[in-house]
Amino acid sequence: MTSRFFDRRMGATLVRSGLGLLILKDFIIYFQNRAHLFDKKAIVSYDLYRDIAERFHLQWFFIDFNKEANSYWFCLLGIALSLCLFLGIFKRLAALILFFSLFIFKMRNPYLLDGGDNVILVLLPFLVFTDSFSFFNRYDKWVMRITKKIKPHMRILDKYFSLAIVFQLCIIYFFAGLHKLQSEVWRNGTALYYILESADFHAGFLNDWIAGSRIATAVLTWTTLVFQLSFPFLIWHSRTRLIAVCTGVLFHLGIFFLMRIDNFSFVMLACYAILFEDKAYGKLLNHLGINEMKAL
Amino acid sequence: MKPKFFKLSIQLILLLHFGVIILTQCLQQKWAFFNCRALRDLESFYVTPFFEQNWSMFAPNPPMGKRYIAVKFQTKDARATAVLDLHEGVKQGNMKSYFSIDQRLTKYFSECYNDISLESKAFSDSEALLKRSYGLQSIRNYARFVLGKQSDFLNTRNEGDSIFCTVYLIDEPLAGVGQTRVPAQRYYQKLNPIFISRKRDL
Repeated sequence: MTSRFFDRRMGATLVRSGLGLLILKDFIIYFQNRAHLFDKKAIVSYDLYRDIAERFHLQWFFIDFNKEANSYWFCLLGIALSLCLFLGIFKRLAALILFFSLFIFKMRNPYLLDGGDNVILVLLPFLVFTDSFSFFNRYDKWVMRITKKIKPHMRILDKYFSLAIVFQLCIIYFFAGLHKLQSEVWRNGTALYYILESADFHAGFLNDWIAGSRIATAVLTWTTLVFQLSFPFLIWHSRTRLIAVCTGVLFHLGIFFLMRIDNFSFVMLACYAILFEDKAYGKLLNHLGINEMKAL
Repeated sequence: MKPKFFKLSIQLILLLHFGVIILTQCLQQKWAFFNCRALRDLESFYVTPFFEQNWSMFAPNPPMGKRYIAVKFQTKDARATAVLDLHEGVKQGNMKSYFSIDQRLTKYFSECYNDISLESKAFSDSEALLKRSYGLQSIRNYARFVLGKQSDFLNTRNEGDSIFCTVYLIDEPLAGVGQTRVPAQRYYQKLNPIFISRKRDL
């Protein structure tokens, strides 16, 4: 593998900013609804929160949300840190503290979290060790100056943890595909009919139109299976990677428009950015007539 | 630490991490070969709390119809509200706007439904079920907010009245592919009433 294979700073920047923005959106929603989400009268049982902390020996992370100020500052801290993550200021520290904040939110509200939150939680620890650009040149230069002595070590961390994000994406798709393979409805090509017609995910007439056609349902069900199972094998070569990414974009836009699952779709789309090396972004920018990035 | 050793350590850490993740994912597939105590312990104390890898959405089976929770509030003198579908407003809110909390509430109802359904098989007594089922405890808390909005019912009640709630788990399965003319079916499970609150404590 050439060293360029490991260079994914631009991709890491896009992933970090994308996730930062999505977490910011979540914390703003949590802040607005904090009266229903944290104390013992909240919509998820407080006993479940206590039980999770005890069962997994996580008392260190237990915050007493019955004090109103705790939920108020918890949400404000989340908003501030996700803004930092989005902008790239103190990004490593922000990613680390956000991981623990979201972890505590997950302990408090396990019933409210979806697949997108799961992906964010498993990727945030990797973002602590990946390098990325901030929105401010002066800040980047300052960071470069103070970390000069440990640059070789930082470079190693950046290379391997960027690749770790790619591996994690492969695990998500591959095992999601394997889970589906266990069921008759996925194998016989009817699973999508049930999903599109399910009350919770029925977004409109297009669902009825697709679900009404046995051929369309079967083709889309099997395409989903083939896409998820082949994703880890297609992304390592530039040509097949483009096929995987284009299929993935259509797949997640389909989930977004047909099932109204927004969080998961956008988290996964943001993560696609790291599948491309800096070389590819350089080529794209040159093609668009924009000067190549300073660090490429 | 010299960069060479540092690099090796990072490689080793990531190899171990992903090794554990992949093995526990194989365990989740219920492959007998991977079913051992050490792996289950690793899953319980490393993967599930810190790096939960639950990628089985719509799998193995997708939702096959409409499952929802409805409630009815009543007092001891048999005065009651209509049966209220907790899910409907949330579902409509979810379809109307993107990035709202309603999508999370849809997931919340689904989790509560599954938990109550599972626990109610072992506990039929409402108090025992309430102690055991976090899903039912959560729905009780949610029901308090819903009850606060039932002004027609509340206006007829005295301040000291105890208000109870009957929870219904309703299942409306979809007709199979190509069987759209089959009349809709509806199954429901009615739980014994649980105490929600006194009116004055709302």
